[in-house]
Amino acid sequence: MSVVGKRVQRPESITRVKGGGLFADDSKYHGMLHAAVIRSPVARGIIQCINTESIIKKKGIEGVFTCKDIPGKNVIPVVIDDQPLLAERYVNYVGEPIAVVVAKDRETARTVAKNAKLKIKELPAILDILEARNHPDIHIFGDDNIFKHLKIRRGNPSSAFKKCDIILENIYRTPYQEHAYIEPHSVTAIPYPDGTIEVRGCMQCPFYVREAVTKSLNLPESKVRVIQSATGGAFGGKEDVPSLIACQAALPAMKLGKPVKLTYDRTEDMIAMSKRHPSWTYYKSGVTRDGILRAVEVEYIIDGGAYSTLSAVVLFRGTVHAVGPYRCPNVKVDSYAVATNKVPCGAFRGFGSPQVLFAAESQMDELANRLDMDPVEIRRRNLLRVGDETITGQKLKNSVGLEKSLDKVIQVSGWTPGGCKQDGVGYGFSTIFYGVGLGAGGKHMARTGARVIVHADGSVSFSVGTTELGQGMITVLSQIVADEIGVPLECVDMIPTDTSRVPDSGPTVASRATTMSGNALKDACTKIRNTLRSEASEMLGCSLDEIDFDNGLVSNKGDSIPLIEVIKSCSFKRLSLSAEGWHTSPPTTFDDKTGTGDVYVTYAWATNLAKVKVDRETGEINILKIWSAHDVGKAINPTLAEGQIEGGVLQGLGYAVMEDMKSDSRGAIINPEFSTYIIPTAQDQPEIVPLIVEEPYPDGPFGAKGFGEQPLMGIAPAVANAVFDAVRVRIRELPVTPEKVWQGLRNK
Amino acid sequence: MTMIRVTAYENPKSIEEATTFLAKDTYVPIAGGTDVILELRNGMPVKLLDINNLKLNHVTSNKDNIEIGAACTHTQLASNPIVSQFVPLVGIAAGKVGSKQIRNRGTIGGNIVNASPCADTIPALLIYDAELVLLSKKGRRIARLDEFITSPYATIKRNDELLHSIICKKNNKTGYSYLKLGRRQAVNISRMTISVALDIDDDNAVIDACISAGSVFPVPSRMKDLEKFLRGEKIKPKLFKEAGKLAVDLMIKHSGYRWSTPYKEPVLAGLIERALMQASKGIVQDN
Ligand SMILES: Cc1cc2nc3c(=O)[nH]c(=O)nc-3n(C[C@H](O)[C@H](O)[C@H](O)COP(=O)(O)OP(=O)(O)OC[C@H]3O[C@@H](n4cnc5c(N)ncnc54)[C@H](O)[C@@H]3O)c2cc1C
Repeated sequence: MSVVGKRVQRPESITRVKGGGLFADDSKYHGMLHAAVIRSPVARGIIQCINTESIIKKKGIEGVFTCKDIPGKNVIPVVIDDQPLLAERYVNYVGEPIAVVVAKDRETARTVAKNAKLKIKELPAILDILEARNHPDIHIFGDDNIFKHLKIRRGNPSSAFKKCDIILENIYRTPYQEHAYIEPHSVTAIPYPDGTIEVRGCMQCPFYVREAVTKSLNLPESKVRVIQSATGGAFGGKEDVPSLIACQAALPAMKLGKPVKLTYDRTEDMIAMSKRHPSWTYYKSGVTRDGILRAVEVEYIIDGGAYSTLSAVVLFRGTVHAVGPYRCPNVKVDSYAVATNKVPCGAFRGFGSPQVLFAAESQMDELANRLDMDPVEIRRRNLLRVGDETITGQKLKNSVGLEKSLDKVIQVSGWTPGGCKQDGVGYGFSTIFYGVGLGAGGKHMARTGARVIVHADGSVSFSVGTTELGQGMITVLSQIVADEIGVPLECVDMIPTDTSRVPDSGPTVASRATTMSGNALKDACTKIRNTLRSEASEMLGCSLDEIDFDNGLVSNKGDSIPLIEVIKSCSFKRLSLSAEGWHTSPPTTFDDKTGTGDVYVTYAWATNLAKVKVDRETGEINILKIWSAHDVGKAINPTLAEGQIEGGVLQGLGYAVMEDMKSDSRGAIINPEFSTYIIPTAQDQPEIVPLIVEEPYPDGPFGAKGFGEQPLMGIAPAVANAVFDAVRVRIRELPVTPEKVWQGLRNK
Repeated sequence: MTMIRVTAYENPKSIEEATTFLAKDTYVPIAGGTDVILELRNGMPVKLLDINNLKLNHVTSNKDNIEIGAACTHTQLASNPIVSQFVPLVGIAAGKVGSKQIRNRGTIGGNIVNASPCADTIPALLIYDAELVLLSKKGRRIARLDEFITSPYATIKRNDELLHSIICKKNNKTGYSYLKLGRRQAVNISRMTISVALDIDDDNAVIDACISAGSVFPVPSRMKDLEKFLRGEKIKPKLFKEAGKLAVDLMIKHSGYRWSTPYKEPVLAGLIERALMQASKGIVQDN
């Protein structure tokens, strides 16, 4: 009985609902100490003095560590090595780590860290991206404060614009978004007598953590072991930052020879951890009267904060997605990741694309409106199909389910152009795409390993380098292993992700776990299957290619034996039923000068339709219903895929209408709590209709493509478009709040 | 960062015992703790007096009044038949507090004594001319709710006093309305609430109007001038529009025009108009 494609339940769901699971902060170790971080109170300054002697004398304090104590490189390796583990001479944002205090108990460590006296000479700071770019005097990064500039040049936009009938130019802005994972950051570092450091914590990317710890502590990779604990949500917020936190715990653990735990509380987490990049986008697009998109020009700027972290690759994805899922022969994109004296931003579900897609998809609607064409028709005339080229000149060979997703939404919702509706009610569309995997922005990491062991009793263990974050990866990969070996799902277990079990498998990001680990597992399973096959052929007395595996049986025509007998026989003969699997992505390319290339291995596609009701008196936006159709290639587990849609839509709605993180004149976050940073609750979930389209991707396991990010990506523009449809007010700056809508209604 | 320092915790079983503690020393009463615990996070040492075992969770009714025990939870009030029959706005407001978890723990007494400008049950209670029964070793006194809160988070309650119960006057009106404006559907700190009770005669004239607002004034209060303006008037849409405008004038007069945005002012006018319209049709509205 095959389980791929079936709605099997996540084994851990019941435990989680009951509050079970061993999370990072739950575990204790003998002699364990607690760390807390001393942070910069200023946006920019020169550290003049950290009085470590007075701190160390305090009751209960076991140690205090600054950059001077770091044996290796004082750097958190991500893309460009500009971020120190602990500040040296300069601090560049409020909340920047300066020193680590270690105490016998957490409260002491935190109190001492909070009250630590620092002498810092404050320097003028820059907080605004437009000001920061090419600032003449203040240099946070390089001499222009630009972490990265990317461009795409296609056709000849300036002459194409001359032939357009309608040209629109607008500015769009988007704010921070906080990941709001349910579990704040936590990590424990445990030193062993042989010099090994073991790191356990919540994280997306154990291999990033290992690299950071080996570099900063000057240890060989064989001496650092990183184990992921049950992780309470991540959404990109646990991609690069756990490296920083792990080093803050590992440094004192190594120096003191004792386990050290470091857990952030919610406020600290919200002040000092990464977020979605705020953005500014200039968008110019032109169409001819027939609704065909002729030229697009985009300038896209993201606010990277004080250090580059992942900004360059976040920018990369945004750049490639800048025009949306449309054909366009003439394109000019210039994008910039800019340094400011604020908290460094990082990965967040969608990775630089939701911001620019908000602009692109709002703009598409504005064009339709000016053309007096309905929003579906304009999309249909431009959307990408098999055989078309993306703006980077990548020819789409297969697996393009965009139009199918559009048709599905229209069919299920019953939407018709100009259909009659109540006053204040509106519908808004967005069609989007998502380049699956790391793509050319991170291609050196595009490989992954897996190990599968079939035990003598027929149970199966497997290890992968990617991580479970609540998305259901363990379930999906177990389904793949169960089918590939031919055992029931209940017999399959995943060993918690551990860097000592498989080779460096890259990060768990970019919606890549199912495709990458799935393919690596298939590879390992095939090797084991071959052993089983040859053993079965001996037992059944037939040739290798006559053997079928099905339903727990191995058969040859009418003759069959239970698979478990074959496994037992292998074990009896001491044949190995363990194998390592490996998968590397097909090649990807990107030419920096022209912005051309086959950037991603494949793309996933989606259509969203939002139905909203706007209160003309108060400007309140009531989200009535969302239809969301996604081409995922193959839903290995439709229930989990639908769960991704529901969760992503709700997180996207928060981004669209509620979440509004603000910073003060020093760039410090002023609402770092859930009482003031408002996110949607379960009560805010409107009716969501998740729809799945399956256009198989030939290189994916069972045809699957990546999924996980895209449900969030197109929600904000769909809502903004629906608000416009409802009351003819266009909001170009997220979130779409009652105040802005109300103001828009008054200004009309 | 959280640091809670509880140096003593008492769990009295009778009012006598409780008031004795309060007379002896400075205790902070704790009911549901949904406000207290947050305040304790500042790390000030505190002695807690648990008031959950004093049997203060009664709702009773006599000829003229409803008495509500201070320790009644919002969940209890939102589904209490006496409340929904005689003081429906209180039940609706209680049902709008926070989330299910907060309503299960949070009490009406805590909501009142905490005295936040955006406390949801206070404007509703004001409609029923609520009075508070305060107990101490020195005896019992009655305070009017509209005189109880002196400024945001400050009341006339002495440290040795316990809030025993709230007495609401039954006032049978022809229609009610309660509107809450916020950012989301749950755990929704109010940005504005409007409570309205209207009594309308057969000729469609206003006999009596009771109107209060939360998160509009520094202290939740009735809008007496507005009520006066409406009394005796014949109902027509223009009347409610004018009432909305008047509400804004009142707000500006009382709060000295300290709005961060120009948004709240016309929205207040709009909500007053809407609430009056709904109440004139007899609708009990909870958004
Ligand atoms: C997440 C969250 C959401 C919230 N949402 C809302 C909301 O939407 N609307 C709203 O109005 N409030 C809201 N609140 C605030 C709070 O829940 C309410 O004010 C609640 O009614 C407080 O009741 P309690 O029993 O928990 O009070 P406690 O925290 O126990 O006490 C509050 C104060 O009253 C005093 N006190 C309590 N009982 C007595 C007594 N019998 N005699 C003397 N003093 C007493 C305490 O000493 C303290 O000063 C929210 C709180 C949280 C944490």
